Amino acid sequence: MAADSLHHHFVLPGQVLATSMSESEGGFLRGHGTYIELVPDESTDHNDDDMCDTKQQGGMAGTSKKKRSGWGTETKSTVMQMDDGNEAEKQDENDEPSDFQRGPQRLIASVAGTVERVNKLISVIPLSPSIYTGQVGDLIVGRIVGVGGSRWKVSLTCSPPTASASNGSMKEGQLPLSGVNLPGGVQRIRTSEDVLAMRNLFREGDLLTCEVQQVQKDGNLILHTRSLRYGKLDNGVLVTVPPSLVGRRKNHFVTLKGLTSQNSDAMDTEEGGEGDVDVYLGLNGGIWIQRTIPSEWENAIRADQDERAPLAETLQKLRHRHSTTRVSPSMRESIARVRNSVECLRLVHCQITPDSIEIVARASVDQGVRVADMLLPEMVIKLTEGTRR
Amino acid sequence: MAISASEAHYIIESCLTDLRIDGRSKCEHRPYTITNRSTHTKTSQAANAPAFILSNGSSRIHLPGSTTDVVCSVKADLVHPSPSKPNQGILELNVDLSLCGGGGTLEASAGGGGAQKRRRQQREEESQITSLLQRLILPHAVNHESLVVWPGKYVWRLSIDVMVLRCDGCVLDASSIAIREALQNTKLPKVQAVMEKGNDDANNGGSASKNDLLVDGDHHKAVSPCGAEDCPLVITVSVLSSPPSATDAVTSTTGSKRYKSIAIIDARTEEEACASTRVCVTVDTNGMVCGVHTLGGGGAGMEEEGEQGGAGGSSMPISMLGEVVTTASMAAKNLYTKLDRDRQVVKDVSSTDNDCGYGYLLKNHF
Repeated sequence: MAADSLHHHFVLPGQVLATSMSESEGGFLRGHGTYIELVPDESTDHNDDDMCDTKQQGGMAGTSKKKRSGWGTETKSTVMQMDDGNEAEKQDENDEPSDFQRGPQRLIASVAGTVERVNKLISVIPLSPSIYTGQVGDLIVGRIVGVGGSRWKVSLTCSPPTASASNGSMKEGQLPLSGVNLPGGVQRIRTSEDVLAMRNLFREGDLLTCEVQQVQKDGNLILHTRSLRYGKLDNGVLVTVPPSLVGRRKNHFVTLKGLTSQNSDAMDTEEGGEGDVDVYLGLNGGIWIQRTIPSEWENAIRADQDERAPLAETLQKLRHRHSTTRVSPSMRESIARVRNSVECLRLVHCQITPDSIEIVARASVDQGVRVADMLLPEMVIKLTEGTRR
Repeated sequence: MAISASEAHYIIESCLTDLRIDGRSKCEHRPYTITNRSTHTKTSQAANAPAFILSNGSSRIHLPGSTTDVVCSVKADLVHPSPSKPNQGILELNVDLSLCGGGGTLEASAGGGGAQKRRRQQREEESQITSLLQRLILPHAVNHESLVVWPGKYVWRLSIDVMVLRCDGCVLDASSIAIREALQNTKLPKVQAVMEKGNDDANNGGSASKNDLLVDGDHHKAVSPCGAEDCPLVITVSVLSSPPSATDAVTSTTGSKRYKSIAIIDARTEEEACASTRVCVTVDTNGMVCGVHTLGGGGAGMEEEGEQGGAGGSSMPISMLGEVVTTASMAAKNLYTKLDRDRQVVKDVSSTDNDCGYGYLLKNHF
């Protein structure tokens, strides 16, 4: 079996991922986004029994998403002449090992994307262009665009229309009233007064973080903010990037430490207080940057409350304090630096991860680049150097 | 564009401390890249944007990172002049926003209504931008008298088409830069009028004189329209003011209703959405102000959306007006020097390109 070591490589449709020589064990399992072809020159058996399920983008590239069952059945006859075992394999619609086949086969990518390999399972994860499709549990940074019908409509492409896709493809998720926490953390049935008071919670234009609760069959997303981590966003900056640049990770609420520019070595003791920046990486491409809430505040608030105050109330007070306290100029500079780092990464189309942001931000600090100059083309190339290794 | 009150507050506060959200100071422009016809490189494989073949002059302004992209093309024809102005050339301007997916809003309407409403808005926007540019720039763009070929009979008509592919704030600024660059690169062929009297060729039986225009096809003899270097630029100054209720309680000791305002140049879309007013000032190369126009602001604190341009609360304290104009002229001076410097770099036909795009720069890196 000669499988190329193509882990994390970028492939185009039609590119060969693996070849299996012998007749016996296929040597690879076919995953999403690939198809199998017999090596010999009858290339008529393009049997793409279409494995791509609804998870992949509907109709974007349109390469092999069409069901070609009709075509498949025609070629089955030619295929069957060569191999009787073939038929069983091609009938199924799931990943069957290809060890029924005799003769060498090739595994070919049918979508453009990166190769993922887990032991024998080889699949191609397609690049999703600027349209975000949700999965349950994703963090989303979105903007409210509509209030009514006892739910809020949240726009997922939450920002200036710089996307290359037309603006008509504005995806919206729905945040029902039952999916938010009422102020004060009180748990009760939502009454009609709550419905009338929806605008007091979130109004049009507000930014918030939420999580995908459910993906409906037609692609609509149902969101919720029923955890103490989610809610309205205040006092910070939003950057929009294409959703494909933000990958799924374990933790989307990231703290970047120590990005102050001058004497960054002298101020080590103060680091915990002032220099930290929080970055929330939304999977729909919205990235929210704000200052980290210092722990002194939390202690101060707790000192004022009595012992058994619920956590929700503490957090609410903390948030309130965060949104009304001015941001200091040095903090503003750090935030601007992080924001420009994210822009730089976006400009060179690099994955936005805490590490990459940190690389760019540190490079800018080390090279003494002014924050505003970080976006000059030459500087962008220089600063993102570290991410290209 | 919709923006939350908290974001607006952050942006305004940032501008007040002279450190905007992307780190610029209030008078700094973004690094626009201009590609125009006179870009030459020694190696022909450079990914330069080719000039438009069928037009006499063209230019492209873009901000790396595909946030702003404006293309301008100038075509020239010989036509009869308008009877009221027989000794002047004609300049026409047309702005096209249809490819721009809703960016570049002059009116900050947050209506996400159906496609028809958007199209209508877009058409209104287009016409507004066009009329503004016509009023502000065209009278000073070139020397109109120099466009005359045959007084009274034939003059040049320059049709300027601006196509906004994408815009991230300050559509007028970008369009005006594009127009200026395109005009400076326009090459008009040398045309001579030849008059012959009393021709006794058999062509025309009775008429006396045969008048002709000799067009010199030599590319090197083509001239730019005279006065194109004096084409003015529009600077959009956004005035952001923070109402006193939004700031902390500490600062409002100096009495009520004291708005703190700041004027910034080259606002991004987010910053424009928070602006209470935008003033477009046209400044030419001598530092003279050619025109001023006020546009409505974004007004994040307002509940209703601004309907048509200028309606939604475009107001600013009168003391700001002076500051606005001085800021504009200062920024214009910077912009002119930057543009001229870029042209100088280009003219030196060196092997460095005019960095059109990250692809090319990245290629150099590997």
